Amino acid sequence: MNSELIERLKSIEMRLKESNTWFRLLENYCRSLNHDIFMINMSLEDECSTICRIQIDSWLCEIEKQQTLNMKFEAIVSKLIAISDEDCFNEELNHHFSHISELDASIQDGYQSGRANRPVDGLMPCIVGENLEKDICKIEISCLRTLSNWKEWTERITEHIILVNKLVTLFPASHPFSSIPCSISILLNQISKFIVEQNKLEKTLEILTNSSTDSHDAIFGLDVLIIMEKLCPIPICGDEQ
Amino acid sequence: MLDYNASKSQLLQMKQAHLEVCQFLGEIDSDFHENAAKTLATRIENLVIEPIDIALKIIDVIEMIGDGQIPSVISLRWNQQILQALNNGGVKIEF
Repeated sequence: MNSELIERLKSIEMRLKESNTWFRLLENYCRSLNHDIFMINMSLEDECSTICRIQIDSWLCEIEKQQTLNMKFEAIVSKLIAISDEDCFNEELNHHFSHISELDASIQDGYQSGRANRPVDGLMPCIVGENLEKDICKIEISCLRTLSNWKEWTERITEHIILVNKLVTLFPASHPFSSIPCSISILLNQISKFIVEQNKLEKTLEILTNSSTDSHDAIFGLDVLIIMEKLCPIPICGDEQ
Repeated sequence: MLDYNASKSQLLQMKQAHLEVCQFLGEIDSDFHENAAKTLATRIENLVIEPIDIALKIIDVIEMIGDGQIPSVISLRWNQQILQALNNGGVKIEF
């Protein structure tokens, strides 16, 4: 009986560690996304990117909360394993089992069938595929690259949208994260529209001011002025403070 | 959505027709009609052919940029200019 309990506790501990890795990965991704949205917000000065930053901050707060609970439960489970190993288990430790049993039930129900399980604080609601981990690492590395035009920013935001849409599917509606990636996805789509428009302005300006387009310059003088007024500076890396 | 290819061929046809009229007016050499004909030819060049030329140049730039890649602030204005050239080149003009 005792060995079965220890095995179950070890399984919970393993899943908690796995979840902790994922929370850290999500936290790192949110910070990369926040950095990009901060730069876009400084450039476009639009409401969408401002609200998106607020949403990312909310997500970071939720992740931190989940990480704290995860570490708390991990500590409890490791202590319980150590106590059970020594056969020192007594009735006074029973109250620790109430939440641990919720974790256990969620793991047994969801993880084994590979579906999103019942959301429990401190635990990722499902097993996350390796491909998603690679996608996150890839986008984090690409976030280190400085972008020089709006076309590259369009591609960067599209990458973020694809990844956030994948993350949306991970969290069931009752999970504390559920609505946040959804709203971030919607806001990123709106930001993408602004960036696509900036890309169009940039491209049009380049063609209109290109000297090889002979007599076009005089006719399009007013258009060049309108474009220059509407064209926002390309987001550059700055101090978030 | 304006069909730029159809507009371009229509504008080129209109331009050709008006150029032929201007050429005919330019060839008039009778003392009585010469001045009036030249004035009319200049008016056609300024009021009809020039807007058609501008519209054709706009379509050239649109082709260069790519259809659907025109910023919305510019697209509306350019479409209006093309439509105006199409209308003025195809109807009677009051002098």
